[in-house]
Amino acid sequence: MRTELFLKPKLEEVSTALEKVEATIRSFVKSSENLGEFIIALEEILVNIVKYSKASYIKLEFELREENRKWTVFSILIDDGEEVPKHILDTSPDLSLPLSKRKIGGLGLYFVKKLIDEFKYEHINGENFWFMKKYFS
Amino acid sequence: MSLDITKEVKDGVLVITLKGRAAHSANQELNAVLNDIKMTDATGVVFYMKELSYLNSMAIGSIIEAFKLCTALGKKFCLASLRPEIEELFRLTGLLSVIPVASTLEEALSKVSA
Repeated sequence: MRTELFLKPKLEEVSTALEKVEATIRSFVKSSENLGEFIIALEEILVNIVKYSKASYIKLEFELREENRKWTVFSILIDDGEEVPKHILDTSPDLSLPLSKRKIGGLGLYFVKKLIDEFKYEHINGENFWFMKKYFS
Repeated sequence: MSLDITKEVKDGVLVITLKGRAAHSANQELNAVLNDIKMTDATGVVFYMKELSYLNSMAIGSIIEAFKLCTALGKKFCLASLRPEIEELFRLTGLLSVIPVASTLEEALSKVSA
């Protein structure tokens, strides 16, 4: 099962897209305890694109595959926004610091890296590609 | 499902109940809770999350701000009844060792009232 969605970079379209993705996955994957983790990761990236990248379009492709009764979702987000600096992608919050000394921000991409089984970002020919792979239990 | 926020004072504690999904669309509503904390005479604040099924990084940021505000105002603070998937997000952010958590509302009220 493969689906493509095209979004304008607006927050209200993010909500609609997430609802469609979740409903589509739920129609195949009947009992997934960690579907919410995939939806959170997807939301974090989409909101980042909308708020910071100055993209004019977002394309979301996702594919569900079943192997040995286990489902996996492969997704690619493509946008034409600004390239994400490497230091932003590589930053993780220092959890050893007291709350008063922690920097604001950076938690969204940290969530993506922690909640997704395989994550990769590339900037190619003016487009950002966000690859995610998530196994459902 | 969107986020439903209700507030009530129980035994001198402001109980903020979050139900549904705390996605980006709920950001303003969650930030508005900070004003309620500033305005209340309650000596403690509990976030009751038994029916909260989804929490993104911005919502966690708002809860961190609420905790910091309570600390600055001398109010006690506690999270109550986290679902496993929500508790996992707090664990990932290292907050479980910083912010008090109770398994039930009654336990949270007891901690905050003490």
